[in-house]
Amino acid sequence: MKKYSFLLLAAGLLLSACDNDDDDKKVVPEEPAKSASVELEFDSRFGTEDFTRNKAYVNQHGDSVAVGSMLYFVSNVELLKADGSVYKVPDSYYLIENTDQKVREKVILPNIPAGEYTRLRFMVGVDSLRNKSINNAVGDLTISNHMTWEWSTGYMFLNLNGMYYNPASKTFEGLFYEIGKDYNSRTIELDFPASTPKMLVNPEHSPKIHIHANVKTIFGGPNILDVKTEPRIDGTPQHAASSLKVADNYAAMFRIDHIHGH
Amino acid sequence: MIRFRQILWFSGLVVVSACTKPENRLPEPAPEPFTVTAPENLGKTVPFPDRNPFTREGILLGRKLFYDPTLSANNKISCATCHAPQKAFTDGLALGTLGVSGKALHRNAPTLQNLAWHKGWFWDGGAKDLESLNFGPLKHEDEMGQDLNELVTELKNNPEYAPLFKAAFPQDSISTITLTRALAQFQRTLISANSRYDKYVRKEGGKLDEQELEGLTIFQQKCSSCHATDFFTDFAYHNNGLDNTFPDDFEAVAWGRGRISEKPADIGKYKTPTLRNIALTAPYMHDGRFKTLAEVLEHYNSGVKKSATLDAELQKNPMPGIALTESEKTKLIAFLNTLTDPEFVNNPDFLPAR
Repeated sequence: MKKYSFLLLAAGLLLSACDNDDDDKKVVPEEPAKSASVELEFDSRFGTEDFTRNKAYVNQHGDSVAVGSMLYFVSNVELLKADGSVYKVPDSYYLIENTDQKVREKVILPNIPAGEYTRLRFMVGVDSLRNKSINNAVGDLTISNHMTWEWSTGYMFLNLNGMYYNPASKTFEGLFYEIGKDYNSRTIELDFPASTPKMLVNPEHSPKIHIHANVKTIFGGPNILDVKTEPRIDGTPQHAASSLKVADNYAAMFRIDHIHGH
Repeated sequence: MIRFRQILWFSGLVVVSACTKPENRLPEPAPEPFTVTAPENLGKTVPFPDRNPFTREGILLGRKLFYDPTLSANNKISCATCHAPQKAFTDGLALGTLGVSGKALHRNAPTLQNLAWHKGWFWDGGAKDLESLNFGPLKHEDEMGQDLNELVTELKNNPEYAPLFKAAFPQDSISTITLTRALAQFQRTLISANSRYDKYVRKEGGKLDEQELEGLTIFQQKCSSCHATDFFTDFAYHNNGLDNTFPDDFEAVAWGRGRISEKPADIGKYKTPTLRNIALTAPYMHDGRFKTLAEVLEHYNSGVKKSATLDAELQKNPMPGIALTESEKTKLIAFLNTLTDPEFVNNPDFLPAR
């Protein structure tokens, strides 16, 4: 019997040693995860119409423009509550794409803490900290082969390619806006509309926020652009002033249309 | 008794092995941290970004990539094609034509030495870190012309590279991120600090003759405001009077630093190039317009053109530039030749692995 108890004691010691080893991994019953994902959809529109790639529309200046591809960065997404508290979505760098190869207008914000939110804040572009290098391993910054400048390190915030009708030559000619540089990032703040279901997040409630991204506004928000006189605006210094106009326009292109409750 | 002991021993063994299993697991092979140092006249420590510290495996991978022509679209051009070690990592051309298209570039291929200390890369400082810079020549249609997604696929399909990337970056896959980090690690090791001049200033037995010493004195008086310190550059941007018009065609490439900063005050300025290994890096200037050091010195003596952004150091005399006699030019060139570093161009660590 003594021998048996010795055996038990020994085994018990060994087992307790095991328990200690496993302390870090011990499953402590957690409170139910009070979070849920939220979907943002950046639905491309042209004025009041649905946006169609390569379709000719008339812009605010009266010119005919057809956008063949459009990519832009949405980053630094934040959800705000009525009390002023802010939830920052970590590493939120999303490339919104509407090209012949790929349409990606929906992004999922994971693990949003439960609660009622009243405002959405995000940046069009990339913050100056991440824009110092194009060797970033977060979010969509890694796959942005068509969204970087090497000659002057940084990301393009907007890369829009298309055609405009030139009455002089009576043909459609190339048009592109490649907008980047720190001074062209824009922070957008949108109130969740009162008329839709509340922006309520909880484990049973993963809202989808339907945002209208009005491509027409890029050509004529606060600044009405003349594509005939300046069909190409890029990151070279001669275009700095015009790039600011485009940036102020894309700052005005978003509005929340509605929220899906689930 | 024996039986119990056997059971005890056996059960203990089982329990112990179950316990210790997690700790006995082979650790992930970790790359070996590596401290790159410089001699004291370069300040001993070699800067590197926090997110890309040196490792032995990273440097070796970077060297292999640097010399690998599969990095280019036609699999014929490596980094070393235009940055050849024998020429202190230049191509010997005014405007390089060795890229995949054969078209001339708009700027002279710069020497790759002591890059870790720079504050901006390229002649105009447009690249904000080496990791970002590398994508420039890789993607440029007149340089390596490479599609980066294709390159990553090629590297993944190359059985040689899988273990090398794994050893250098065990947490990451083969990607553009790890590719450029390895290249940058290798590039930061390209330190030149063992010229005869270095061994003279460090009192390591290097001797300068009378003419070279007189050249050094003239250099200190007339050149060292920009070609400062033992890096022989202030890492800043200056207009040294090569031109007095700065057209905005070719995306304003002639604006130099002004193209990057977008400030009129920077138009026509370029980064002060180091003078280390200057005898090996002809032709000279951002566009390679001068074939010899004698031509360069004659430019400073008689060819400096006035413009709004001309450097103040070149406007101290009634005639812009730096007045130099024939004798002074000869002595300066003699001194500049002491900056050649044979150990740098022949360092086996900087050459392809054999």
